[in-house]
Amino acid sequence: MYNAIYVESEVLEQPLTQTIVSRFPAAHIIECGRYTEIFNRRGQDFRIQKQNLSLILARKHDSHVLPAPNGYGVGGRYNYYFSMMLNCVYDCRYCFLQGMYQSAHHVVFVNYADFSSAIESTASNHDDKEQVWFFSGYDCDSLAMEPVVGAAAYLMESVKWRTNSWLELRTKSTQIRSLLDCEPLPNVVVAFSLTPDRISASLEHKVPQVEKRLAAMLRLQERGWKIGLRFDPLIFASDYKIQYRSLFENLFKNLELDLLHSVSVGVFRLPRNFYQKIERLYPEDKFIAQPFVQQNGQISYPGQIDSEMKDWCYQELNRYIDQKRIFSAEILSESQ
Amino acid sequence: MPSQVNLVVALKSEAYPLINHFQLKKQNSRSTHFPIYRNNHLALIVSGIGKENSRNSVDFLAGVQQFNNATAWLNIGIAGHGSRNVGEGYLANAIEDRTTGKMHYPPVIREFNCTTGKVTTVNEVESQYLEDTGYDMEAFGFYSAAVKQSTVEIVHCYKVVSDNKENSTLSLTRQDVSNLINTQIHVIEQICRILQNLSESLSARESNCNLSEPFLERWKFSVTQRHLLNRLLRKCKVLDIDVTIESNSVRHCMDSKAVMQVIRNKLDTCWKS
Repeated sequence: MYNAIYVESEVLEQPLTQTIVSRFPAAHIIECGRYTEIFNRRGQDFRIQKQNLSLILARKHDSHVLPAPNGYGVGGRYNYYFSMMLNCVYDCRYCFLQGMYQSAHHVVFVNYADFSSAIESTASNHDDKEQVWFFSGYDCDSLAMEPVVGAAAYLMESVKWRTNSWLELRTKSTQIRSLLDCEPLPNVVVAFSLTPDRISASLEHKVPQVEKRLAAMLRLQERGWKIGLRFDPLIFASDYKIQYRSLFENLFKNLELDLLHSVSVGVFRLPRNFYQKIERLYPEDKFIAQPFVQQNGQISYPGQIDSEMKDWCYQELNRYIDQKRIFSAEILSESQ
Repeated sequence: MPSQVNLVVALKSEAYPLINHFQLKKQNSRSTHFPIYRNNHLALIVSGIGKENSRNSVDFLAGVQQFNNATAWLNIGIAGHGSRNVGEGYLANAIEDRTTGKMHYPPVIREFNCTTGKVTTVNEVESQYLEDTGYDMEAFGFYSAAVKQSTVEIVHCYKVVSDNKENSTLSLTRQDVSNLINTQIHVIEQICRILQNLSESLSARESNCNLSEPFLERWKFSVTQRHLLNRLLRKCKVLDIDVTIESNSVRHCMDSKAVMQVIRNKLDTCWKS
């Protein structure tokens, strides 16, 4: 999977580093000073790197937990996010990471204990009766690399005993073994991002089929885990109503609604500069070539399509689940 | 845009096997300091010894070429080594400047299927060979200059071990150097082929295949409008939307602004299809 593994000298001797490195005996191991010497340097090509992935094992020194952008959340008053990994094993053409980073390489910050401490100290700054949410899976897929990195299993220990802390693990993967192996936690939500199969097949390269993800969700629910559904981004197609209706029907007829924590919805959008970069990387791509419009620095569908899709999806979802559990995934701009 | 691989070597004795193998012809050049040889897709420059020479030769070659950041660069040369055997070849995955301690990390490209290792660029010939690294005198200078010209994924250094603790440089002849490069010529050829493919794929992304030319001949576009026109026409091409200057809606346009509006309207039909 990885051509090379870059390891910061500082974490070279850590047991976790050694464990991860030992999983890739064929990779070239290269010692480095700081991960930023390799990751996100100018003049790198995300697309070529995506075909030549390297793994970088590093230590994150600060900013382990950050406040989530305004409007981000699923009902909690205080929202934070953290990234123990950067970049993703999947290759979704709409993904903002392609525009945000110069590098496609995967970074894993192996100092899990520092993230754990930051989560605990952030939570302790809030009243015990408040819901403090910690979102993982913003700069990466929370579970896709779980068999290699074991980060989710570690994280759950951080929120296990804190009644005010909620953890969302967001994923497109089916890597749920570590969750099945432990007791379900009432304050952890495993949130699955979904698009209809046909859209997924054309845009979400290497992502497991919806049926496989649904099977993973069912196994988690059977075990007692709370599930989240994330229809973000909503992708337009001329027959989107047929495709999304079929997806919703399939999910809601199978899933246990009592263990469905929340649903969130957000139409495809990208910051303008991210979009421009992706356009340069994939000029031949039919999705990217669409004549999106720009509004408030964001590239998205023309207003009418945007609002029509959103309204239709909210209405359709409302047939299955009460409005209180449906949230917008779209971050509010400063002026909103 | 044609793809191009630029080879940078320090010594004539390193260059000769490459010139022969790739059938490169000497090019008349402004500079007698940096001889340049080329064929259709490869250019080779002889930099002379040392990182400053190497850096300057890259700048010089880039200056005389009309290529973009899709031009690939490969430094080829001999190196001493702390642990490898004489005759072994490898690609640099880390390049250290011994003087400053600064580092570069050339990416590892799967397709090269090549051994990789560290190269340390030194100012004087190494005689101790204490570390597990290759000792050369150019790689850092070459790499620092070449990554300013091109995408890092297509900038690489290939070193052939010429000396080590058991075999010092004292007995190394020019013929030995040529022979060492010759033993790795097929690996070098394979690396060049892959670099050329990468260069081609990068060039193809930039190419607009002159989509806008007929439009530019017929209407007057400002520079900004030209860029936008290219972008819109490329989108049309990708989305299989037919736009030519002969189509009814376009040919009656009075000016560039009207042309672009027609193209935008055509693109917007994709939301209905």
